[in-house]
Amino acid sequence: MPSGFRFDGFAAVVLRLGIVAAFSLPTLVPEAAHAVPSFAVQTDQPCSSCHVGAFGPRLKQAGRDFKLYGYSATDMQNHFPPIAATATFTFTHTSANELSAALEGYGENNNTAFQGASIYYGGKIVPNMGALVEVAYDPIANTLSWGDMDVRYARDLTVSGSDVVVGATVNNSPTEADLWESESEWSFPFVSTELAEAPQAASIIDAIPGTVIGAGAYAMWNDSLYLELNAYNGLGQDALRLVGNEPIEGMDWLAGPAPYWRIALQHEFLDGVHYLELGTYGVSAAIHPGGISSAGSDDYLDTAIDFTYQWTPHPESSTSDMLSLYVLFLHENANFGASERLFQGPASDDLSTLRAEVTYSSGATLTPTLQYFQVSGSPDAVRWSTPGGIPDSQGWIAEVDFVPWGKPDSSGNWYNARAALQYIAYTKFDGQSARASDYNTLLFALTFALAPIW
Amino acid sequence: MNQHGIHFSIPSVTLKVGDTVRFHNQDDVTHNIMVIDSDDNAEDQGLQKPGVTIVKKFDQAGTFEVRCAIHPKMKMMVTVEH
Repeated sequence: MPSGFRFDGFAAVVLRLGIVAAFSLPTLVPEAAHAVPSFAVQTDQPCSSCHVGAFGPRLKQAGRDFKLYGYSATDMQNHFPPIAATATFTFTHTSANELSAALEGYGENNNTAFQGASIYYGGKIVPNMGALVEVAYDPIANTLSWGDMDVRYARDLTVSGSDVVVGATVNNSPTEADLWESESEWSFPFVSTELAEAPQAASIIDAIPGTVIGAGAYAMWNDSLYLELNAYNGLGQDALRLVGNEPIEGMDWLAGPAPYWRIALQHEFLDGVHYLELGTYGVSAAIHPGGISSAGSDDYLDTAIDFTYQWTPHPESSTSDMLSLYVLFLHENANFGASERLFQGPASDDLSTLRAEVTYSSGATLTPTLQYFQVSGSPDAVRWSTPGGIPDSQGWIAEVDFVPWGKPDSSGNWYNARAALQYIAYTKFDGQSARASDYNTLLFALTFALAPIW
Repeated sequence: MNQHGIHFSIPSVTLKVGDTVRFHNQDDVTHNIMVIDSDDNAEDQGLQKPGVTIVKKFDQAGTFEVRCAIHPKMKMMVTVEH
């Protein structure tokens, strides 16, 4: 940044919006399917053993345990390195045309697209150590970048007569190592597209995945109390280029390590028929807006409460019907000490996100999901390029997934597919209620997953 | 002894030397039986497909941990006495 550059008036707003866009960059790419059949091959399990609806990423208890123990559990047989691949194709329709400029090569509406493809290393590295590492190709933006990255080591101990699983993780996003369907890496919907407009407002915990690297430790005491503490540092420009996230002039930078914490209580009742989890997590991040360190930092504090309930009437059957409830409330408080000086914006603002979701998996084949979502916060015309700077959005997402394979009677566990029909109905979009329904989106997505060598 | 819902049906058992334990997989997914002695020596009883019973004879006294290598949380203790 040239010295003497002044941020005022319209230029300040434009720059600030660029900053938001820069930190939001990873969330603009389509979400990956996170279905990794190399895990299934490694463990000789069908996808339905670990995933709700026989397709990732929603986890059952067996899936949470597999992740907790470092992706390293195996069937003790010899396998090739755990490589997997996914590809997603979509059809997107929005209620109104030309909501924004059409992306190059696509029409103003009703677009069919090769949405994305990923290659994963997903499984054991050495005993007690494994990884999920994704390289993602986005054909729409024509970019190749890293996706999920979680390398972990875990082992179990007995401490004062109690079972304790302890582990260490290196990953590229707060919540990446999480075992529950929390913000932001593992939350519904699992397929989205940049061919439809989405609400702008996102908390910092949603904005920094892919631009940071972090490490930390976790422990599960007596299969009941889970504790995790990580710290994240922003990647430098060269590192960002290396992982496919081209730095943007004026993008925000973390001013120092950002701590992330996670506490959760879980319990199974009646041999796994009922499962409950109640937890909290958060991240504290100090950020140099626009990468300018001379003005100090903006300080963000995200704090969340989450709840999970799963009912599995026949836990001995991986294709048992399954009812799942998820509730998340995330609150962000931001103090813009630096931005106030640089951009004459508000001194602080807050942003709250509520999601409540119910899903019922029938035979691990047909899985409808209904989610209510609401984002609300204080107006901030510097941070959000919405009318009046109002970040509020709310609505419903309905989705039906059909998964034909990934079950014990499937002919193999090295492949799977999911057809997802999703409808997003907005009652408020970026602060507007009057024309919110123009942004309603119908998405049909076909995702294929396979582990080509086993 | 049943394996049901990715749990052993009982967390521990005490046997006499020479007794056997029949592990019956009632789940619809594959399990594995590993018998680990107090010196951490593991004896792999192999994969156990759904419906299959593995019979393990304990012919030495001691304390053994029985685990499923596929489902690391599945474990139970076997104490074998003279």
